[in-house]
Amino acid sequence: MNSKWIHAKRILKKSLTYFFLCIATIFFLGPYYIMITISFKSPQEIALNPSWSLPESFSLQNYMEVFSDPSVNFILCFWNTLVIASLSMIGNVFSSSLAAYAFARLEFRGKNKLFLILLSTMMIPSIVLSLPSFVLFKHLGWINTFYPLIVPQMCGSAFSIFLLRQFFRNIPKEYEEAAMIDGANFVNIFIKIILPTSKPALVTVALLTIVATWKDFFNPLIYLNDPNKQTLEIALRTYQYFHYEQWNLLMAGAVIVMLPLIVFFIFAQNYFLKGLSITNHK
Amino acid sequence: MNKLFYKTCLLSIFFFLICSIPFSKTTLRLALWDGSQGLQIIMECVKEFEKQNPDIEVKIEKPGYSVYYQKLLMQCAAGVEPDVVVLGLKQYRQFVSKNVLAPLNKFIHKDQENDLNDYYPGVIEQFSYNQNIYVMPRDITSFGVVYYNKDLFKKANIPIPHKTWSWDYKIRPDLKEKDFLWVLDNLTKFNQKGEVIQWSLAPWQYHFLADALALSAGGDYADNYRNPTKVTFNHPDIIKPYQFVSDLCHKKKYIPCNQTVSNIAQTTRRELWLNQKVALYMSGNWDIPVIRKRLNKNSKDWFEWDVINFPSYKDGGNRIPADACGYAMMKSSQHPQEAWRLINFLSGKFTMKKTTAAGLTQPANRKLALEYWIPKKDFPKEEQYPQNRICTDDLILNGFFEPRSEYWPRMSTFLTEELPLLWNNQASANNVLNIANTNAQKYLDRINNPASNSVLFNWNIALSITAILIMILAVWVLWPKKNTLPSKNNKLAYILLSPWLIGIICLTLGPVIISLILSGTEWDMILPAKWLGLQNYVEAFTQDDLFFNALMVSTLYTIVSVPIGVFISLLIALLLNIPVKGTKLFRLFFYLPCMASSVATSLIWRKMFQVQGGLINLFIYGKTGNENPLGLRGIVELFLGTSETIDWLGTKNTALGTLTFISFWSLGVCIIIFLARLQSLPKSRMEAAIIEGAGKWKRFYSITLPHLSPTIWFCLITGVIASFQVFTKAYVLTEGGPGHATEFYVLHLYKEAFISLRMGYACALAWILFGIIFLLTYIQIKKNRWINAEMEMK
Repeated sequence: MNSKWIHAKRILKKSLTYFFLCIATIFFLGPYYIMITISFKSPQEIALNPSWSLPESFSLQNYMEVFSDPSVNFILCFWNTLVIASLSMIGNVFSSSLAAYAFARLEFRGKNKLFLILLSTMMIPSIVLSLPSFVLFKHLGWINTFYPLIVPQMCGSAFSIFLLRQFFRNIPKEYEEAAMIDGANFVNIFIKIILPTSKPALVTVALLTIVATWKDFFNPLIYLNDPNKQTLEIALRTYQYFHYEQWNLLMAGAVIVMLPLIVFFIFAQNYFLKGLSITNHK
Repeated sequence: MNKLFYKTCLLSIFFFLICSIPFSKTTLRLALWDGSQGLQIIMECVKEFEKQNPDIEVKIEKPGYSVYYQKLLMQCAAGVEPDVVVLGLKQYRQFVSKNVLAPLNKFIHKDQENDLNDYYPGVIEQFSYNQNIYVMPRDITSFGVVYYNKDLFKKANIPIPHKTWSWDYKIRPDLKEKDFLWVLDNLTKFNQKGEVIQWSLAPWQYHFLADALALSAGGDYADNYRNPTKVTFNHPDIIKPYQFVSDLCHKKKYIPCNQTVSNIAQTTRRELWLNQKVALYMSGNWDIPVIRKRLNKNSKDWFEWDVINFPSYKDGGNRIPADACGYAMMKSSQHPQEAWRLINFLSGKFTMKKTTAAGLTQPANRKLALEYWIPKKDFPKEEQYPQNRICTDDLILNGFFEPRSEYWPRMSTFLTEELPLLWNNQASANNVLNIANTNAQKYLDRINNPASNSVLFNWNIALSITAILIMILAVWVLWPKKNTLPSKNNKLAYILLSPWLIGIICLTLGPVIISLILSGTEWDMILPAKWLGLQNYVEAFTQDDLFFNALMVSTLYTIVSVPIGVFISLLIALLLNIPVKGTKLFRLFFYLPCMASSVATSLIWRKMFQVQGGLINLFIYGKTGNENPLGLRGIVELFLGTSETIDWLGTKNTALGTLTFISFWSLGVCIIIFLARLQSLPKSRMEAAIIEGAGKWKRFYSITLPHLSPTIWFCLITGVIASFQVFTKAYVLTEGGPGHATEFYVLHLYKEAFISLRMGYACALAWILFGIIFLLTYIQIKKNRWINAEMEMK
């Protein structure tokens, strides 16, 4: 009787968990349902059928049209976006983790004041900075190059430093102290202890940087002029005019733009778990 | 950094060498706003131009219409503008007054081929200022092109309208098809239940219909369009036609209202017409290519159609608004001769013939228009429709062009911002136009009474002040504290911080301090700035009502969305932390929203919240609108006190709440951060607690929650900071409307910077916002002991 009761309770708990997860899923995936179904519909269907209806046929017509559009080269845009996003990601993770370590562990002059400055930089609306930065990059001769998109990321971002600092602070100090007694220097400690233990945070920062640069619209818009240097997000706007939007092509394009990110997320998620399991085994 | 620097140096030297070789190609940069179809044709023409002019290479830039002017303004501000740009009638004056356009007179007069008398009368004059022509007109369109469905006229047994038809506020049955309202009345069909099954008229935008009515009946928006001093948005001659359009829509049901449009045709009013739900569609020439493509004789959707001019007022007044655009040359162009050749080619016969054949443009050159635009017998079959294109010629000859004051673009946004409330039947025209009038008049008064002490702003001084301030900041940071031991890790710490420090000094602090200095100026980004002192700040707090409104909107949004958002993401993270199968998949699902392109998702949310046919109202009101499938209807009725289906984004009371709801969709980052933190909770601690006999809630309160507290704090702080900066969502979804209900702080700032072109004022607004957020964050850090313990801020 007792064991049955426990068994039933466990099943109840599991089904309740699934129930709530499914409700949340409906909320989070609802818009995607619309996005994907529209990407298979023809303009007539979009006009006449309700937005929740299934497409009449799952033909790849819209996707083909997006890829064969002579005014945008999606493959080239994909390559450009990939270059910008991956360089930004590497640079950001590297610089941010160094700075975060200094803030989390080291005692140095002006630490709290610098940290206050770090926090403050997050609070300024980026729109007002766009014009002075634009003029600055013009004087560096970087207009119409990828540098204005990558170099600022390479200096680390306040959000990443802040996030990593919160993680680093939580690593037990005893590890480092033990290593220090064994004669390890900073480089050893950083590479052998800090980085492996904070893999989840590092992957999170990497993911956030990639997603942010991938989705960035404003910066590529103002800095890149050449059609051959455009990013995916800019290419997508080809289907949005001032009189109307080409819903079917826009949604097909949006799915194409998003797919690489999903693949990256699935890949990163595995890493993420591995990183987490290390922290748990202590 | 160093390497990059050398590379750039080498590259630029290399570039110089290439440029200095004689006989090399001249490169011209051409900026276009056209959409894909027009763009393709122009790109072909540019290729042809390069073939004819082997010494010139043309690089096309195509930022897209929605952001075209913003990019161009920034390029002008930095001095990197293209050689040749497309400009419209509305905006070209702004660029003329900024002194960045080159007058084209000397080129035009040299060119024998180009006879200005061939152009539509008034077009050249519209594009010139102080006797200088700045834009070579390309195409032209009237907003009063009425597309009609001949089959529906036949069905209703009424004759097809004649170009001499007219309109009045009252129906005139004796005039029959010569009376606009009579035609509308006869074409509107109801079913037995009294629901409309066929409307008579759909304008491209309600605003354009009201505009055409107001102007043709003799109404005017200002006392003088070139140098306005008094705005007359609330003149009875304007109020009456605007209310009239709203009545035609909501009382007479001739015009499908916004809610119906989203119900029947999911995209535009043009779709309604294409699907024979509406008999007349009022728009411009630009719809012709799409309509041609959709209505070919082989398709099942085919019906007989044509175009006719919009009726004139009963007294014959027919000032129907029209617009034109053309190519302009930038003053900074290094190759004016070549640039002119390009302009001449693109506004000339070859290109015009091609774009006209596609149905894209009515040439501004009347000779070309009569030759290529007005259908002839020898035109290919697919170019025959619409046959009555001659009406567009009349429309332009009598057309009313957009007022030319450089301040007009901003003034008209004061009007368009308020109008949605009128079209959604939530306010009267009187109400809406009076508010618009007050706002526009205030803006105009400030323009006409400029600051008296106009000391020019010196950039060199500003730069030196910036450098000094950064140095002061550095000294402040490094100033040794009393009574503390010298820190031992100084050198290592600063080495580690160096990449970030370089970035923050050059790329953040520099621009930030410059924006602080600019906040004391009046600056339109291109002309020299004028020093004002603290006047911008005084203005924000004493004169700008929209500033307080925007502050309220952002504060309300933050207070509601951030705590609830953090709570929800904590709940979801706790759910995901329960070891069941498939959590990995769920995790992906919840993170997906953060990865989708923002434009696409914003558009989808608009669809989700459509009145009818949207997913949200499907859940609440069911398929027919009268059901209650999930039992949510009662709750909605209780809170909003109405049993009608709700236009979530279009109603003043619900718009901000709807945006808050949408903000929960992108909680993925917060969820992931919470989850990572939860999973780093050592199992041993939990196990120890279980052995000690602590209950579930006790374990949660004494172990999980304290473990999570820094993360909760992190999410709250970053959430507050981010939600005060919300911009894109409101910009794409509601444009700040209805009636400023969702005009977030940064959206207001954006409008001031890039539409009013008041960069100095925008900088002041940014610094006020910064002050507020900084204060909030600082209080949170200093006052909250719980947080303080975690942060260990001394």
